[in-house]
Amino acid sequence: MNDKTAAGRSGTDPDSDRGAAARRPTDEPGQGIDVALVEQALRGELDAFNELVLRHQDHLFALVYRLVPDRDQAADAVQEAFFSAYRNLASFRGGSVRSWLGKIAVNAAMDIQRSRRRRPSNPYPELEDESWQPLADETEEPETRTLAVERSRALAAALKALPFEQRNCIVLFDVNGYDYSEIAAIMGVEVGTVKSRIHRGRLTLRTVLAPMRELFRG
Amino acid sequence: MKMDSATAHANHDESLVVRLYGGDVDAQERLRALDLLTGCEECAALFADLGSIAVATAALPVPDRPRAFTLSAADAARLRRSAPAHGRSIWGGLTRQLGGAFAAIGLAGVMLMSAVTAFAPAASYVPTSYQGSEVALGGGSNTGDSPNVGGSPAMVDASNRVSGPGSSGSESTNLTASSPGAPKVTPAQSEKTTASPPASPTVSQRGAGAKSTSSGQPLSRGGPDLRLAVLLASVGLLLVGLLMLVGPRLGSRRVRS
Repeated sequence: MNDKTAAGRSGTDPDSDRGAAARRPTDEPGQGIDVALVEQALRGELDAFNELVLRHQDHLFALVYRLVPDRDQAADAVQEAFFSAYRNLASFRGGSVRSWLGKIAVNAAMDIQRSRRRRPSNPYPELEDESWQPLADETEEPETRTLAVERSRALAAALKALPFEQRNCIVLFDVNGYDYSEIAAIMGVEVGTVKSRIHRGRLTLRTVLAPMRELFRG
Repeated sequence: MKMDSATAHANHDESLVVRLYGGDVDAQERLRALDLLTGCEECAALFADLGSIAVATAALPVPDRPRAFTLSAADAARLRRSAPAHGRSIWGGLTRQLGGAFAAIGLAGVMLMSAVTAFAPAASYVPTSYQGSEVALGGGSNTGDSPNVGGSPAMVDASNRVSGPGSSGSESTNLTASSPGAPKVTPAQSEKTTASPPASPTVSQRGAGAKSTSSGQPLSRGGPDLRLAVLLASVGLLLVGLLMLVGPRLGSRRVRS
């Protein structure tokens, strides 16, 4: 039984039984609007497509940025994803527009990762650049804030150390809430491969972050 | 069982704990994993860490997007234009692959036929112009109406030499074909048969061996007509393949110039 229960998603309760359906509602808010916009865009209304872009660009940028932690390259990938979506509007077969766009964006990100692997050059410059850290919350204790920054930096470095296949799977599963079969479809591999990548990636992350365990337990 | 020593944990299946975290366990494995969590502090810590890391991963800060990704009218027009171009490029790729395959098959055919012509013994074929002889070789199907029934003298000689007395079946029909009772060969037919290349004893032997099809055609492989047909088909394939390979490039070059 692969009950697709990510026990730790809600924390550390192994008995929590929040399935994929629970964390990814099939009736996404605004789904009807999205489909209507796609239909209008198919009739040639560019404004409708741009409305779709405005609705999803933040979500897609956040997704792609976690896969390609370089702001400019992530932006290029998202732009390419929207271009591709516009070109292939007719291939939308119903269902979740958000998920459809997500798959296109992940594919664009993977294209960038592959080209990067072929031509490695300063892999993740953004990770050394602290300028992108979110502004401090005024109500937040300075110590808490410092801990959060340190945690993010350590985690980003650990994620960077993972093979990108493992990183993609973990991000898609933990951050974006895709289930194993969806990730398998996006990445074009077997479900077993996805599971194995996620499990191995998690163990590696835990090993790499073991010396900084306190950052995560705080 | 409370096992808190690192040695005990070393024997525990950490991947089971990780799989429990990912919801990738069956009922039995789940029980085993829960046993580990309750009985081993290290396993429980691993499970807790996995949760903390996942939560922190989801909470990783994301910078503001550097720009809006809306499409301009020019973008849209370009993308609409590039959609058929994309289709064309797919078609172009398919054409190139097919062209390559055709050219390769055609070239192989031409080379094969050249090799067969060069190395096969000159007498290893039955000219198909000897339809009469072949019919005759077919035994009972020979009605005596065939215009070439006599075949070439050489062939008949050879047949006679091979199929001596006591031969039966098609062999006897060979003899019949050259027997005085056979229909007379007209001068035109004689001319035709004389112009044809002589058949070899080998072929006659094959014919004498009664290797014939049900229609009376001997299984003579690689006759000149067949070879010619294969050769022509190969050359045709080669030309078509080359055309498919080179044609589009020439066309695009012409367009550019």
